[in-house]
Amino acid sequence: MVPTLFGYIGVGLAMGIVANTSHLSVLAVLIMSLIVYAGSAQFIMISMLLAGSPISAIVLSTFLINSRMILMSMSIAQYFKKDSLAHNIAIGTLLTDETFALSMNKLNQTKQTLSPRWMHGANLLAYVVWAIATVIGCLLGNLIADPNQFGLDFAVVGMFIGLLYLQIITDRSKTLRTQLIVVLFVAILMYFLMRWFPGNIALLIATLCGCGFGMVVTPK
Amino acid sequence: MTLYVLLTILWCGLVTWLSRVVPFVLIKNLTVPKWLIEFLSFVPVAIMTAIFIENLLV
Repeated sequence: MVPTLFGYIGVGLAMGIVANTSHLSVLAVLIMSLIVYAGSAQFIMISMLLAGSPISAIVLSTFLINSRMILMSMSIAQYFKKDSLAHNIAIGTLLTDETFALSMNKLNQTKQTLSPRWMHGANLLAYVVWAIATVIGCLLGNLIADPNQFGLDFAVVGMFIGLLYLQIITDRSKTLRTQLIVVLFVAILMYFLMRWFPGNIALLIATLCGCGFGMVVTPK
Repeated sequence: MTLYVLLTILWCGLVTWLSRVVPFVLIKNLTVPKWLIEFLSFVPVAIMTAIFIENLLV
């Protein structure tokens, strides 16, 4: 949980700093983090707001970037089928890349079950930390000229390689070989797709292809 | 904060929320076919790899 939080705080700070340099107020940043609550989408929103893009274009971009949430939600929702609709809606509302990845690691330690309580706890913690980190970033923005000098964006890379590693070594439902083949396939596909498509579109295509590829290479 | 910024946040918040919640409601009320469960079981490893590469290359 702790490394995930560090990655999260890093991205949140970076988001706040970028928002500040794009002339968004602290209040706007706070409301955005509370209502939209999606890292990469918020970065895009800020740059498009700064450019004065039409609202419809910003909403469409946000939808495209966040469409991976549809996949993550569908994937995790199976574990909460027996829980009430209210629990399901609450879990979906605060689900993010990070808590999704955490819960997939958790699943591997808990014989493939997740409790709504644990999920709400992780989600709420991430939600609050995100709001605070982005606001602090926005306040710090006044003092910092170039946010990239701290390598905060690298925190995300570190966080995901850690979570991916945990996923691969702990998911017992698949063989190590199958998982590594899928990782390799998705990585190579991403590398090429990102030459022709925006990152989030490449991500969706690569993920969908990776899932199909995984089904094919799984020993029957 | 201008009305333009506020409206953008509200609309983006709505589409993001729907992307998160609608799958939960659908999965809860439908019987998911076995092939879809198998397909979705690869989402974690595939999406984490993809996010990692995306962040690495940007």
